[in-house]
Amino acid sequence: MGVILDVPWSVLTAARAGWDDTGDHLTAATNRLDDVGANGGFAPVVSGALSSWRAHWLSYLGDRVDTCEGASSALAAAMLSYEYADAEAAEHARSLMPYAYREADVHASQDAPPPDPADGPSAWPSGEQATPEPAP
Amino acid sequence: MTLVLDAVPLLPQQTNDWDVADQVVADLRAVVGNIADAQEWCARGAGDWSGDTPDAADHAQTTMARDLDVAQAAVESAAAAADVFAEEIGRLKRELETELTPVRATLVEQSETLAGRTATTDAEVAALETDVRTFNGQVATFQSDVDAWRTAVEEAEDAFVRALQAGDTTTEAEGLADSPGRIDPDPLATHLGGLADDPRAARDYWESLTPAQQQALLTQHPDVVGNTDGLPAAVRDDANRASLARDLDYWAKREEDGQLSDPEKEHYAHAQAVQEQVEAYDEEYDPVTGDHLLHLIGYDPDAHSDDGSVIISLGDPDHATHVSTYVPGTTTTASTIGGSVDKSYDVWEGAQEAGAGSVATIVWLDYDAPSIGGLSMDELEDIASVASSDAAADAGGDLSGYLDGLRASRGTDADGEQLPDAHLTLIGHSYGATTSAWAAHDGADVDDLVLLGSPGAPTSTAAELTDANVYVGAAAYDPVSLLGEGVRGGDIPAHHHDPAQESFGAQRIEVADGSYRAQDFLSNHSSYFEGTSLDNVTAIVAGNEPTSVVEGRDGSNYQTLPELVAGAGSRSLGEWLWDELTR
Repeated sequence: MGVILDVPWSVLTAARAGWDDTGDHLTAATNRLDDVGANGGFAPVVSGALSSWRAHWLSYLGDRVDTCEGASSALAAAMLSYEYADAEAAEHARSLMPYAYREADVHASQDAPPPDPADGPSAWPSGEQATPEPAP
Repeated sequence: MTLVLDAVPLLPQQTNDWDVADQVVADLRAVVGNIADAQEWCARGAGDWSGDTPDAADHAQTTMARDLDVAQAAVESAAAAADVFAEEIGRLKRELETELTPVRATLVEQSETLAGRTATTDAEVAALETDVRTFNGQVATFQSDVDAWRTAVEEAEDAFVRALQAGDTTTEAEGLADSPGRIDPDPLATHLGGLADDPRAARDYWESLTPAQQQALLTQHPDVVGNTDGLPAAVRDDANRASLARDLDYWAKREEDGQLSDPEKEHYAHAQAVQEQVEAYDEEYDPVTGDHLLHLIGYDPDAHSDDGSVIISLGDPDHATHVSTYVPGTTTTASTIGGSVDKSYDVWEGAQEAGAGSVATIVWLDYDAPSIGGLSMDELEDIASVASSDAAADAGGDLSGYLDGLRASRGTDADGEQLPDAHLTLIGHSYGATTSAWAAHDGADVDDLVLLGSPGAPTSTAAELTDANVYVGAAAYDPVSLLGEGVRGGDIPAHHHDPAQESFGAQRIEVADGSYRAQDFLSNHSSYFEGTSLDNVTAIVAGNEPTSVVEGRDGSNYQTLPELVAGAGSRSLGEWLWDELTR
């Protein structure tokens, strides 16, 4: 018996898409940053400073890309079954939702049936970017 | 007495490549663009939180929004410092090439002359002694200039390095993010965007901003800065290159993940086509400013029903003596801009060779050009129909506004004095000629108007159309040029006029007649940037008279559209029959 996080399906899918897209933007940023001034053309003192600066921010942004990808994967997994292994996993998913859902209810899955797959990928009116609803 | 000639110092080495520095600025701005896009979603999800700080810290989007704001502040700061560095390196490069290098060459020549001089009489010795002292004084001055140049380089390097070091840790960048001096460019962008229809007001507003405000706007709102008429071409170019790089990076990642939507695929194709042009002209420099020849002064890949919008200038239109704007016609989209840029380059090269001053030639593709699949009668009727539509008038109005912006962004000379107005030529081809004619009718402030292969103009005379000099190129066998109303009739009635008519009153420039075969109609319509026609266009752009003109169409010297279609069609049919029979 799993655990349910009480947020609309459309919010879940929009959050997953949002994390994925954020990860894409940050990957795009790091790909370019990786090349910034990396092929010479400056005095050693400038190259050295640029290299140190670049290394720090590549690492920093790389960590955030990992965070985004992790969040996207966690939500994608949740979308498959609409339930979580335990309350901790559901609370983690809740922390990835828009802030308006920070107090969304977490409860045992028998309290509410999962969306009927026959209804398609979303049991709620779909939309790429869901409008956040007031926290329950 | 022994006279000693001081050695001429060597020129200093350029240890910083201006091109690389310029690219670093563009790259960092593109990085900011993608971080900002990512940060925007996180900040939206963070919303109007009212919980306590530990509560918010547990919320991933809130945490990420803050983290990305810190990173953005660090990259913004680095981009601003890199921009100052690139500017200074560019200035020093010009100083080295245009001042120190020729001075040294002169000193070396003088040194050789003095070394070869002999003096036997006292008077000759005294004269030589004086010349050597003068020479040595010049060498000392040169040495001092070289030292000052080296010092300026070191100072520029130090400033850039200090700026990078001030943001190469997270703690330092948090300080940058929270600094009260950090500029919020959002209200500035909103204000500038509100001046989109008033180029002079946009220019005045831009000039009223501090350099830091300009930098923040350019880096964080490149889409606004890059597409606002009236702003300097160099600034728009910087902004649009940043937008282009940001888009290419993002869509490349989306493509890699197989996530591009259909509109995104189209936008990505536009961006790639524009990037091809940027790269194709990467090694070409403006002979006047020393800057890159190509200026991307408009870029919006999803404008005009996904056809995209692109404005590319070869040369700096804010400083060139002669400026032309070419408006391409049907079937042109951002993805096919390359052919139009090639034509524009031919005009730039020809006008530059005319030696009548510096030149900038622009391709303006910021309107919804109707798409056609060929030149069948149905397609021709479509062109005739849209040529007299409200859409054509609207496009002309937009073009007129852009030309106002071109006047408004006129630059200053080296002493800061306002440059006189450029000699401005508007060239329209095909439906672009109709759009150009509508712009002229709307009051576009141009000196010369060139209409090539025009499907029609909104007035029956050039005098009603504009005060500018009007030139018309109309190939005898270009059916599109016969769509407008003429003295012999046969046009497709759509309330627009053939500007090649003698009664219209324009100067008709000589162009090749084209081939009298129906299957060559499209080629005939596309051959105005070749041979005599190109010579005429470049002469006009350079401020000269066209090299050869011909009589306008009157009651007896041309075939109407039905006559051409029937005659050329018969010949094509006859040729086909002959080929079949003699096979």
